Amino acid sequence: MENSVRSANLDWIKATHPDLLPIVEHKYGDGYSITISRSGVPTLALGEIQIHSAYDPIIEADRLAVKALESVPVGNLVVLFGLGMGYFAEAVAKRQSSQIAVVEADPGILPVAVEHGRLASLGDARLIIDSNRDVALEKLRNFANSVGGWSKITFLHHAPSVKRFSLYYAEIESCVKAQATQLTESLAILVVTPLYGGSLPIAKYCANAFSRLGHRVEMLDNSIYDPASRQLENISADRKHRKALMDGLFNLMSDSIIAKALDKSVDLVWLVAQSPMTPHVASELRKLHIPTAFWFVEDWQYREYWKDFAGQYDYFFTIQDSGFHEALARKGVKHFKKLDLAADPDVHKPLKLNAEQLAEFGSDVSHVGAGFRNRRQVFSGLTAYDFKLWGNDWEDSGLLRRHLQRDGARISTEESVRIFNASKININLHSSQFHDGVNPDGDYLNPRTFELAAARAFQIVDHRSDLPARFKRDEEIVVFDDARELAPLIEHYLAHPDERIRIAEAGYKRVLADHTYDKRMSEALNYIFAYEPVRASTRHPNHIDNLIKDASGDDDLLSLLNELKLEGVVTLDDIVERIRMRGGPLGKAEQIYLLMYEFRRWMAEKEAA
Amino acid sequence: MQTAPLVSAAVGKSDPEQVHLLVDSSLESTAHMIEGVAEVHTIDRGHFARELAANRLSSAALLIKNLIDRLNSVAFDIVTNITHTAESAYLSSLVQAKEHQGLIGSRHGNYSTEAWSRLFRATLPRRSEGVFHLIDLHRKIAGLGTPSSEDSWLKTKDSFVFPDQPAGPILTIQPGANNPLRMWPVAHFASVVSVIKKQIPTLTVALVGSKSEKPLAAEFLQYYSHQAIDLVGKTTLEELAGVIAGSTLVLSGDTGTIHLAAALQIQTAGIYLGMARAYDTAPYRSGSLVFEPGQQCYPCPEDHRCGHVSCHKDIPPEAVASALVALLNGGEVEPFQAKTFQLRKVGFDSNHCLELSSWDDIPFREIKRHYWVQEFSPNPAKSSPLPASPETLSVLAITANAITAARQLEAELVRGNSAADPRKNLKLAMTEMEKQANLPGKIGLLCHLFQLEVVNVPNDPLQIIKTIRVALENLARRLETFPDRHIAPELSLRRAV
Repeated sequence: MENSVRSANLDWIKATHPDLLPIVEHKYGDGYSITISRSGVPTLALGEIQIHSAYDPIIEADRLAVKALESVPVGNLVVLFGLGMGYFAEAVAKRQSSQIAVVEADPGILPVAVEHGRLASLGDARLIIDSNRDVALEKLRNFANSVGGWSKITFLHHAPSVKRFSLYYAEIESCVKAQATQLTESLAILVVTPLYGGSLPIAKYCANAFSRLGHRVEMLDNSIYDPASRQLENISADRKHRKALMDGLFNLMSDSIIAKALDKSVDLVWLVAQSPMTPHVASELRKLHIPTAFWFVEDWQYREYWKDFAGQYDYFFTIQDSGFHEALARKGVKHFKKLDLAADPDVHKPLKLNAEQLAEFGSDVSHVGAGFRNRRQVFSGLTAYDFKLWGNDWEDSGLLRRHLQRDGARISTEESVRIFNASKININLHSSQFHDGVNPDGDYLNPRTFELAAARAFQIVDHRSDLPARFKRDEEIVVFDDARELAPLIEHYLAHPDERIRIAEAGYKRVLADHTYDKRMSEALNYIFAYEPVRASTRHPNHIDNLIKDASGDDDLLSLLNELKLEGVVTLDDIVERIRMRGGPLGKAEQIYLLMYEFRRWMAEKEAA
Repeated sequence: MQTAPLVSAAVGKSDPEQVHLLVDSSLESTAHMIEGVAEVHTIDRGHFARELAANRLSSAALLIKNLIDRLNSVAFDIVTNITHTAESAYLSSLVQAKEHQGLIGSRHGNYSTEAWSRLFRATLPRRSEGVFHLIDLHRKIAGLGTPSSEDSWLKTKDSFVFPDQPAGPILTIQPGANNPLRMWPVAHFASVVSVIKKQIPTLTVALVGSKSEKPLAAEFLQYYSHQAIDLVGKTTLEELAGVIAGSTLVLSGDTGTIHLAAALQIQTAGIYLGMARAYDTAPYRSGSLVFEPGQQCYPCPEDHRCGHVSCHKDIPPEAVASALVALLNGGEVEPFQAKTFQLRKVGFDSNHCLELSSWDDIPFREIKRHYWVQEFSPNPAKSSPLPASPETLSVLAITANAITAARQLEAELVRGNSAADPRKNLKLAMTEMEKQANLPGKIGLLCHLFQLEVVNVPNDPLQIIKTIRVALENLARRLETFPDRHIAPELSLRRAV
C-alpha cells in the first residue's frame, strides 16, 4: 500500500511540480517520526510536537479547515503556511474552489509527505517549498500574479508546522500584507505622454483609468510641445542643427519628469511608447526611488527603438510575448509582463446617432485606419459594397479612391466612435506592410478590436493568435483567417442583422468585463507593487516615517512630527497647515518649519520677480 | 555697511564684548570689519535655499536646528532683528534671549510688540512719505542711542598707498551700481572729474568697483583724458576700505562703497537715482551730499521696471562738479533746489535723527519725527524740544482748530442737532469738521500723516467725532513739548486743549 501512496504522490509531483523533484530524493528532515494513528492512517511528530493528530489526522484536518475557512472572505486567495503530510492542505483545497498555495519552510518534510502523505489529493494546489524566505516570497509572488494579484489574500496557518519557523512565516506574511495594502491605498502616478502619435491617446486612457481606480494622477502632457517640434523641423536646413534642437526639446520634456515627480511626490512614473525620457532622467528617478513603468504598445519586431531604452525602465509592459520577453531578458530587463491593449468605456461607447449623423458616418461596410499594404490589397475586393473607407495614407489606392471619405483626412477619436456605431459591419484588418491579406504571424490585438467591441459595434476581424483567449469566436466576435473568407462573411451578416446585434452585444459585455484600461492598469499596478518591497512613497525622503527617522537626533523636531499625526509623503505646506491649526506657545520645531515655509515663499517671490 | 553705525551705538550702550552679528555667510568678512563686533555668526542661506528647492525637508530643518543650537550656546540677553523678512522673524524668536526686539514669529505670521518696528511696517507701503532714515529706525527698534564714536566705525587695516604720493586731493569714484536704474551714465562721471581736474590740477582720481564693473571703468577711461588709477575688480573689501580711508572724497551712487566711506568718516557725494532714496539710505554721516532728480516719478517703487530712466538726465554733471570743487577746496556747500534736481545735505535733528536739508517736499517731516519720538519714547519728558518753525506753527494751528471744531460738533450731536445727522461716516464727519474749522482738507491730511487711530470706528457720527477728537488731543499732547515761548499765545495747544 505504501508503495502505491508513494507512486501516486510522486506522479502528482512530476506532473505539477517538476521543480521539486530534486528535494523528493533527499532524506527525511531531522527529527521527524512517522507512526500509525488510531484511525489507521500515518501521522507525524517532530520531537515533542505532534504535527498531525495521533488519533485521526483526517478528521482533525477537516475540523481545523472548516474553522479556518470561516474567516476567509469569498473570492479571496488562500495561502496556507505549513505542509506537514498534506492533511490540512487537502482539507482546505477540497473546500476552496480557487487554487490555493502552500508555503513550507522545511524542504525536509517533502520526502515524508511523498512517502506517506496526501499530496495526490491536493489537485491544483501550488507547493512553495524553500528554506530561503526570499526565494519562497518570489515564488509566492509569481503565484499571486498568475491568479489575480496580492490584493485579496488570506493566510491560514497549520499551527504545528508553522511553530518551528514562526519568524520565516511572519516575515512572508508581513511582506505580502505590506504589498497588498499599498494597492488599496491611493497612489500618486505621473503619466508622461508622447508628443503625438497613436500612443498619445493610449497614455490619456491610462491616466483616466488610474484616476477611476482611485489614484491621484499627475499628467505631463507633452503634446503641448507638438507645434513647437514642428517649428523646429523647419528651423534650419542643416540636419545636425535640427537634431540638436530636437534633442534639446527631448531633454526638456524628459527633465520635466523629475521636476514634476518631485514636486508632486509621485509613487510611480508611467510612460507609454514614444514618451520621452532620457537615460539620465531614468537613473535620477532610480536614485530617488521612484519606479518607472513603460508600456510598449508597438510591435517589437517593426519598431526596434526599445532596444536602446528597455534597460532603463523598472517595469516593462508589452503587448507581445513570444520572443520579445526573451529579448528583453537578454537586454537586462528584470521585470516585464504582457499587458494587452484595451478600450476606455468613457470614450469608446455605444452612441445614439441622429439621421444626419447616420447618413454621414453610416454604411454597410466600413474601415477606419491607415492605408497599409495588406489593407489596400484586401479592401480592393470590397468595392462592390456600400463601403466607406476612413483615414489617411490612402494615396494612389486606385479603385478604393471612390470609397475614401473626406479625401483621406485624419479621423478624430470621437468621429471614429461615431463611424463604429453607424456602420453595419466594421472591418478590422490588423495592418501589415509586409503581407498581402491576413498576417499569418499576427499575435497581439490592436486597440481597434477592443474599441469596436466597447462601442457595441459589429466587427469582422482578421485572425490573431491572441484572439481566442480574449473573445469567443462567432459568439463575441467574427473572425476571418483568409482574405477570401471576408466577402462571404459580409454577405452573411448583412443578411442577418439579428446575429450582428447578438454578437456585438456579447462582445460588448466581454470588453466591459475583461478588456478595459481599468483592468489593465489594475493588473499593471498589481504587478509593479508586488515587486516594490515597500510602497515607493515610504522610501520618499519626505515620507513621514523618514522625516521622523531623520529627526531622531532632536527631541523637539521628533516630538513635533509625532504629534502632528501626518501620514504618507508630506509637504512643507502640510506641516505648516497642521502647525497653524494648533494652539499654545510656539515651539522650537514649529518655528523651524515656519521659517522654512517663509523662506521658501520668499524664494518663490524672488524667482517670480 | 549700514549696520556699522548701529553696532557703534550698541557698543555705546553695553559692553563691547557682547555685540554679536548673525549674517548671511556671504557677508561674513564684511561683518568682521565692523568695529566693536565680538563675534560673527553665519547662516548659509544659499545652502538652505538649495535644500528647500530640492524639497529635502529633513536636511533643511537640521541646518536651522544646528544653527540655533550654536547660537543658543551663547546665552544672549537681547536679540535685535534689523531685517524685516518673515523668515528672519522666526530666526529671531528661535534664539533664546531675555528680550527680543524687532520682528518675531508667531503661529500665524510675524509681528513686533515694539512700536518702532510696527511704525516701520506701517510706512513700508508708502515709502516716499517716510521721514526716518533706515539706520535711525533700526536704532529706535533696538532701543539704541547715537553712535558712540565719532571716529571710523570700521576696523581698517593700512590705507592703500597711492602711487607717487599725491600732493593734491584724492577723489575715489564708483561708476557702477547693483541695479542699472540706479546707475548714473559713466560719461557724466567722467565730465564731473574732467571739470574738477581743470580747476584742481593736483587731483588724483581712483576708480573702484566689482569685477563685473570693469567695462564701466574702461568706458570712463575713454571719456577721461587724464590719468586715473583703475582699481575696479582688483580689491578685496578690506583693500577697498584701505583705498577709501586714503581718499579725500568718494563719489558714487547708492552703493556699498559710499556707505563704507561714511562708516570710515570720509566725505561723500551721492548721486541717488531710481529707487535709491536719500531719506532711506543717505550716507549716515553729517555733511554728506546727495543729489536727487526732480522727476515726478522719483523715487521708483521697489522692484519697479522703468522704461525711460528720465531721472538719469536730471542731474547736470557741471552742478555736481562745482559742488565737489568747493568741497575739495575746503569750502562749505549749501543745499539747494534747482529746476531738475536738488542737492541735499545730511545733518541730524534735535532727536539725533538724520535730516536732509533741502526744500520742503515732505510736509511736516520734522514735526512728524518729533511726534513719533515723543509717542514711543518710554520717557517723553527727556526728549528734546523741537524748535518752532513755520511748519510747526502750521500744524499747531490746524490741530488746535480741529480740536475746537470737533468739540463743537460733538456738542451739537449730543444736543441732538439734526444738522449733524446725515454724517454717517468718517469722511463726511471729517469734511464737516474741516468746514467748521475753516480748514478744507487739512484735518484729513493731518490724520493721515500722523496715522492717527481714526479707522475702524463704529458707524455713529458721535463716536466718529469723539475718536477723531481723542486722536487729535493725543497728537496735541505729544506736541506739547514745544517750548511755549516760540509759539504765538493764541496757538498754544495747552490753551486749546
